[in-house]
Amino acid sequence: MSSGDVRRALRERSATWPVVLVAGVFVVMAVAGQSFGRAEPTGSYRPPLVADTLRLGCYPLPDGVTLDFPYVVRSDSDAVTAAGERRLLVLHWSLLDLDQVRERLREAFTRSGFEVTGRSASGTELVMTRSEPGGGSTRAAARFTMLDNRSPDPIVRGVVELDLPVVALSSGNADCANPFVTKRFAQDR
Amino acid sequence: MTGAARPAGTWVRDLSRADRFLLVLVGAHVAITVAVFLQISHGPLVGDETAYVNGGKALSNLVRDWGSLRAPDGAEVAQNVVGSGWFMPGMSVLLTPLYLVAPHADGAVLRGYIGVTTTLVFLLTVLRVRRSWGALYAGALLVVPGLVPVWAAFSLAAWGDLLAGILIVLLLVELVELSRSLRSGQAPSLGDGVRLGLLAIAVVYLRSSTSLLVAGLGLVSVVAALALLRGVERRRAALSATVAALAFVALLLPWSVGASMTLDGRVVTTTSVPTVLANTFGDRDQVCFGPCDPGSTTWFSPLRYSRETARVTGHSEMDVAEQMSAYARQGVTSRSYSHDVLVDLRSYVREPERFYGYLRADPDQDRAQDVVIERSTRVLVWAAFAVGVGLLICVVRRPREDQVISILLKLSLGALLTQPFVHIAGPRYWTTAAPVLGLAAALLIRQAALRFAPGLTGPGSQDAITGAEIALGRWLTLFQALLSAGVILVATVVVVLATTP
Repeated sequence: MSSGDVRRALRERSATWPVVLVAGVFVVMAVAGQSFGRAEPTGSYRPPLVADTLRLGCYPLPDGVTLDFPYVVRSDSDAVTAAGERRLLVLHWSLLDLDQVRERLREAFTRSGFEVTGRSASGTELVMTRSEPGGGSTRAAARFTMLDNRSPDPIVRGVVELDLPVVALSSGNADCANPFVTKRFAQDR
Repeated sequence: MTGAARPAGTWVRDLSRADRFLLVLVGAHVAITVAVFLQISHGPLVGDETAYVNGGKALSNLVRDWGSLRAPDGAEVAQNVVGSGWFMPGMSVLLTPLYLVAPHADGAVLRGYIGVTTTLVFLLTVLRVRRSWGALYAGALLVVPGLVPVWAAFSLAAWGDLLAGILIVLLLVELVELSRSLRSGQAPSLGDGVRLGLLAIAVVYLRSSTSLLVAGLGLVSVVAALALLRGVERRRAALSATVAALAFVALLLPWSVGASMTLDGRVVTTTSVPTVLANTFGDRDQVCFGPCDPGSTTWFSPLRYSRETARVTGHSEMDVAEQMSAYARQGVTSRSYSHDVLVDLRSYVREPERFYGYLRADPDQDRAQDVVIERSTRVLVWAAFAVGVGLLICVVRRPREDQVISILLKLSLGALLTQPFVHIAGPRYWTTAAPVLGLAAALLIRQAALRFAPGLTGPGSQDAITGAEIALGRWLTLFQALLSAGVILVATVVVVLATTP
């Protein structure tokens, strides 16, 4: 055998041994690893995604209104306006055209007693009112804006800004204290 | 060991002067690493280190469950190892044995474990370089990155950038040896192919942004093999290349498939590219089709938006992120892009020592040793960047092996420097490029020595003067000239575009 052959043979053997050794150590450690207890990863880079604020009922929509189109809540805040203190709830809707979303939103509100009392010519604004049993009325307005999502099969399509009566925190769910759930950021003073 | 019977210390005298010098450098490297360890061992985990540590812990539990034949906790693995698919799990795999033995290991143990592992891999790499390329290259590696204090700090930390950089050197050594066998008309063996494939996938597992480097080097190697070999050898080379690709894919698949199934969409390496592009070049106020949630990072807020939207639409969060990114980048112009590339390059280069401040236990007070660590890092790394510029614009004409090394280093550095063109750059990415820069310094020193002191010729400088070798030399020169011209062209275009109104 020339020295080159010897070296090659050594190299080939040395390629097998570490693999066997590592595999052996691995098996021993896998079996022995029980006795040291379990490690506790925090999962902090992938926190669980809890339901959104409307579904959890943190700050609900007016009585009985549930939305049945794909939306995400983007922001929720209260502000003093000419009509008194009002709630501005901003949603992004997906997969539907403006007309479809407007229809679904109108249906959701009319199902719980609202009537359309105003509508812009372009169809991008809707005002709805409900007479309340004790006199007075509840007013809700919606403004729709299409997003310029130029992707071939657009997912997120537009923005709905809802002008609603102010509502208090209505759920004791611990997640309702999380601004990333309620989307009430600026208000958290 | 034959040295056992001889008096202690004899073996040192048997070493050549060069090897004795290397030994001193090894000692210095280890001393610096220990000194830096003492500064940061009680410091916090920084940023994405948490993700890798969580992954290591979850993998150790997975192995525990296998060992006891229990059903593994799939949710824990999904949440901590795959997570949002932002990181390849190379470092988590590396940390698994630690958490298997010490599930509650604290920060100091973690840093010690990573430090010992990284130092061993680094020193074995230096040894491999010494055997294959000679003492000069090994010595250069021991100086840059070996003597750079903040590189030592990173060698104790859980990001994969640094270890990927070391493995890139091993990959380059393999490729130079491949070039030797190609020049002698021999195809690489199937074993060589497997080894190359495994090394390449290890690099990608540690830092997925090296994918371009790995793909580029792979492509160039295959083209070179097919061009230089004939007949049976060429077919054998094609077979070896196929085997290398298969080894690579076989190890990539478990991750790709696992991550794709967990995240319910197509994942090859990582999922972060769309958000990265949006944050780097797009309008940050439009990443979530408008502003993202305040009060969180530019990474977690877009992620939450994409997850929330995916949940209500049935699309994957990656598809949503893709469209968010395209929307935020609608206003990108060649000028804004070039401007952002320059900003990134600046952050890549400017403060190589910055992470030391994050890793220290008491970042508020600057002690004398902190100033030394930070200043010496800055000096060494900036000098290394200057060497990098020299490497990118130089054209080596002889010997052949230096030409091959020059091409491989240029391709590697070029591929690593694409980072600022696609990603917000930070003072961490240089740790991947540092070993390449060290090798580049050795190449430039060798070339200077050949020119000004021709008596000092190392291995490989005596080329066979055959027609084929001369033709090869011309091709290697031409290729280098093209690469250098490409670099100069890109640099000029970026600067011109960024500065013209």
